[in-house]
Amino acid sequence: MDMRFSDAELAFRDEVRTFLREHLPDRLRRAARLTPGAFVDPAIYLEWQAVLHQRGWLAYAWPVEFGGTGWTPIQRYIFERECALAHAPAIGAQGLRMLAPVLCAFGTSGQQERFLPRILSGEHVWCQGYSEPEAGSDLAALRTRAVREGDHYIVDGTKIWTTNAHLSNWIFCLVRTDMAVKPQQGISYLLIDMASPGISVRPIGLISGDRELNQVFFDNVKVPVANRVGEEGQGWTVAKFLLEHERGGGCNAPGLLVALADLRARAATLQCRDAAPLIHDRDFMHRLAIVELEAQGMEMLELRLLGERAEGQSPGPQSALLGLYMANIRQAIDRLSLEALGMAGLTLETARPLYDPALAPPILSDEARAALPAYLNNRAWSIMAGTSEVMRTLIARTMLGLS
Amino acid sequence: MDFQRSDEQRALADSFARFIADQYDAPGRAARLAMPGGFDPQGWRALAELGLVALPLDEADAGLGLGLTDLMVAMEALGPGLLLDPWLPTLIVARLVSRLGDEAQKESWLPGLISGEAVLAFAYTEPQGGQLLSYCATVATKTQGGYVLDGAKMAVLGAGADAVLVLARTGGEVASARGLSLFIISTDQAGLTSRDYRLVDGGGARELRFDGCRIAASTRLGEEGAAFAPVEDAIAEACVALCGEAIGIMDAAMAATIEHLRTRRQFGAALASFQAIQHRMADAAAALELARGVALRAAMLGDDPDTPRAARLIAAFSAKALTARTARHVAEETVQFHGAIGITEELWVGRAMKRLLLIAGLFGDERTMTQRCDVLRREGEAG
Repeated sequence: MDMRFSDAELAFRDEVRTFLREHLPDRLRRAARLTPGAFVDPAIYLEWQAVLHQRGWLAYAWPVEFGGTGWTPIQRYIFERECALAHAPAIGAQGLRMLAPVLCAFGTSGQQERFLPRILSGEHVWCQGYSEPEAGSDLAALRTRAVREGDHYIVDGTKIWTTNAHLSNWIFCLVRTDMAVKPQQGISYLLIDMASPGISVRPIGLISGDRELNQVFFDNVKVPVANRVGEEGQGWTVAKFLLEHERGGGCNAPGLLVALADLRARAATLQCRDAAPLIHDRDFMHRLAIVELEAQGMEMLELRLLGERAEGQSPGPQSALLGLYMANIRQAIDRLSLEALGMAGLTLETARPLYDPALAPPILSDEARAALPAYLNNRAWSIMAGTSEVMRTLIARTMLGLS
Repeated sequence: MDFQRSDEQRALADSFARFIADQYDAPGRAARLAMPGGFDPQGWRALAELGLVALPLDEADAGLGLGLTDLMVAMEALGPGLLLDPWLPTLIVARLVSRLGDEAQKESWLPGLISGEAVLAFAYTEPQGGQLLSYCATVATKTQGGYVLDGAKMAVLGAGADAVLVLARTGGEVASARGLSLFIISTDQAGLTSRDYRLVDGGGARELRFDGCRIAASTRLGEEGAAFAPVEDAIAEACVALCGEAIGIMDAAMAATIEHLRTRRQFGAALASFQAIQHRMADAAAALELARGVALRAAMLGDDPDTPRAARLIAAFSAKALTARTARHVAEETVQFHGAIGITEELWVGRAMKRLLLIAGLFGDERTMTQRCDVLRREGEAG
């Protein structure tokens, strides 16, 4: 049993570190640190995406035949970890990490040739059309209809919580093509051009002041059948493939550990309740230490699952814990960060981006300005991509056999 | 022993609830939010006209002479509106002017405060002070005919104010409770600069800087160096009012969430039927009931003239502690159970979370409050 990286893996880690040191400007690091939402502005990530693409590292998780780097699962983990430690902007995940694996596995060669290069070049910016007002946790209850008419589908319905739909030019959607079968069996996966007539986008403001989410309306939208990925009625399988594909490869704990290290460092200078440095507040430091330990435990689980995956094994049911950990620990960090700031943390800066040099000087630091929006936005971590309630049921069922 | 609301208290609650229904629906609140500092002068006068400011003031000062229990009833009814009005600084300032002011000062300020025509801000929090009530690095240096103020205040409640009641140090060490004094200063005073901003709930606040700000001796409110105890008393009363407001908001948040859980269906069932959700809602309801009890106790002890000062303060600050803790718990759960829509501006429940977060932090968070109570207990034992 050994948790150390091999010499070759360490050399790779150093290569990544050097690359980041030389090619990730402070300006982009600052933008990433001052982004309280889960998604960095496209202007920021497209710039970083171009740098990675030039190095040949953008499509690192793709199969080699489609432009992937051929990295092992451990190398992929090391790369993501170093990016998290360096505060690299998160790359827009929708096209790169959600659609691309699906196209590689289920797409026609025509679809692969058309769409994959444009994800890499940034020409196509994708958003995800899954959730609907009546289909959140129960996604199979989705109602957006796609009716076949010759070589087109006519799409009618609505998708909601579509992040950055207002900044995207393509959307991948789960739609209902068959009303007569079991819900999961009547779903298909469509790629839709956002410029198609009949599509409209309504922004939805968040309580943080961020404007990431939207509702997208489809009114008699013509979509070529050639834009369907996989067979008709195979959409649910296609979507679930992604969940399986991602299991055991997660690298989320390092980002949490970095945020905790930042908070611990700031505790030396932040005022606590009795106007002494926060580092003397035993109660706060104890609670901080507990959250750090939870994040370390999460990191160990990610490494164990990574090890299983690297050995070619199917990652165990403990992987169901990671979603719950991510929500709980992220939200605990946000609470502590807010608490540490006292009244200064209860200011709400609604101007965006927070890293705009023209913004009025904050009462405290840059990080202080992001703390409250982050707390408010990150309430979404226990809701989006699976609520914590659903996670717990999954854990009980798959890990504990309770049902 | 009687815990029933009186007819007068029921009438009070009704009149404030009607005000909220008329003036503070979503568009009404949004309109106020869009005004400078989130402040609607006309709307504030209308609320003051219902007697909110007069409610706890002595009848000798044209107040209604009612108690903290009545104030809590009013704030519970007003809570769900998520008020943007400067009721909180007005409550504190009016109390301090009433207790400490000379005849001229009372005559200058009380009628306007009671009618809502005069707004005074309350400046005491400082950037370096943590949450210590006695921390004050803003100094008032005595000069010929008055004082010179130097220092900075933050989170000054009362946007749109014509004047500000400032806590400044005329003596003593920076964190000492001794040597603090109060001054009423016009906001267009030379040597006073301000920056307006918004707090988490959208309400207006200010940062103030005093640079060689010269003020007359007549601006001082009460005895020099003796401001701490009256300020602490006024803040304790304000804490009880905030508990009432938070409880009113939490009651509405629970009701909205129960309605949502009954109507929202996923996986072929109403969310209300899922046992895990029922259990957590039960936990939230249980916590809310405890906060309600402790807040009511603080109000009743505060209204009883036989309650010793330390006990009165401890009751108020500890009620604030428990209410703050409960507010965060209930806010997070009620938003969570609404799903994604709970974190958007589309629903009241997300806005309610923001107000509850602010209430939880005002005058010190839950740990500040329990620590303050420990200090008061120790002082009580020593004295």
